[in-house]
Amino acid sequence: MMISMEELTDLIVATDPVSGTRLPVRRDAVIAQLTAGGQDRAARLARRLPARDGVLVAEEIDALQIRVHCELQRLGEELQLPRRIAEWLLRWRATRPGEPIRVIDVGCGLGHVVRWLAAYDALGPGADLVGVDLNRALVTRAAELAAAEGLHCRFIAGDALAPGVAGDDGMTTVVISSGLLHHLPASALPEFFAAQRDRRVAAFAHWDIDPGPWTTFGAWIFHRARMREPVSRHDGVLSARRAHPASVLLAAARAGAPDYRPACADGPRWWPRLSEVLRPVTGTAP
Amino acid sequence: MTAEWWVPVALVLLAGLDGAFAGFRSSCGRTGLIRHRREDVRAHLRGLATAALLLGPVAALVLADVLVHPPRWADYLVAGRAMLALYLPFGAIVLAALAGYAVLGWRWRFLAGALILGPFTFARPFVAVGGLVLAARAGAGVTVLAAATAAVIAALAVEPVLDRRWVAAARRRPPTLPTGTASPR
Repeated sequence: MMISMEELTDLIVATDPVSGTRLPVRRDAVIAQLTAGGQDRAARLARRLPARDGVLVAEEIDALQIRVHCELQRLGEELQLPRRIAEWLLRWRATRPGEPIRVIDVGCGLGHVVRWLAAYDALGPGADLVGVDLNRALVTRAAELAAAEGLHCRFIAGDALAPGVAGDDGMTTVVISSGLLHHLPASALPEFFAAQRDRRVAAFAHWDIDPGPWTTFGAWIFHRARMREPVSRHDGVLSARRAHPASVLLAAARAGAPDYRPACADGPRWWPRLSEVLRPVTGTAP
Repeated sequence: MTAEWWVPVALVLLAGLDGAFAGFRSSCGRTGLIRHRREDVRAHLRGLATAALLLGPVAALVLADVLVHPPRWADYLVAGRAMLALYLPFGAIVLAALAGYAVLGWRWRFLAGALILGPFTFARPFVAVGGLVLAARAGAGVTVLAAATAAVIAALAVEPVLDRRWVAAARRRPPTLPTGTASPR
């Protein structure tokens, strides 16, 4: 069951979903929402965020988001996240030898996975790597980083599943994400999977945390040991608590994309499944 | 000097390794680059140099104290041995995990990080203080304990000092390039 607590990084940036325009966010509104939800520590962190005339300063919030995502990338390296994803993509691609593939990373942030796949040419020739995120600052930085290392991948600001944003040739497309699903309420998950079905993508694979007490404990230890930003520490542990169990993800995938073959498995709740701390919900087209 | 020269040598080696790793941790998650091996090497050297800067004065004071009061050398050895009883096994486990991280496949690398490197980083300050407790229990005198405490504080300060360096560097950057490379711990 998903808990109704909010991550700070979800509240401090608002974007018009249609135009992509950045919307002002009032610090008081963020604090009030967190306080109403009983998140006193998060409210204290929000009070320290830079504001001008009561509105969060966009440039400084962008810089904070970039710092948070740089730290997240470091954690992703330690969790071997890109290798996990590459392994699944290679297995999937082996069933279609010689065919081109477009990988779209939804909510890519700084594009760690996409840039890693490009840097190590992990998928071989014929792979088009695209990272998409609503947050323009993150995507811009991702593109800068890719250019700095001469990587062949693209980054787009926008809704990855909207028509025409990241390419419309569905049957060569695999949609992936990492750490995105827990940002969506359970009620919105079927729509998320339905959007991928509507685009007739060849497959989807979304990695997120396998929830449970061990995962939450591990997240707490690792965020204390590795993260510097208080916002990272707060949101990281909350991510583990908010993660959806496999049963919820499977039900949503079946409801939203009924003709796809879904798969997702969690281990026993009280027994740590260390190597599967991040596991995907996957679906392949009929 | 006695045959127990290994005690200060081991302490200096451990302090150097700890400083190098502190430098590495301080540089992690700063730039967002995929390939950062060169920066990692620089970060280790920066950590080593910072540890030498911070711990050097403590070592100099200890040397001066031993030169002025030669009988106190034995007291330092007692404290050093007690601290190493905790630090050596801790360091050996970390080094074994790092060796595994360097040569094994990604699943084992993940396990090395998840089971040892992450939790041990979390435990490091408590282990450092634990060494002081053992030194006190071994009967080290006040002067020796004060020197040991200063050394532990200096070792634990390496990472925060380097973090501040990152913050200062980021502040010097033009505001049009929010590179996201700095944050105090």
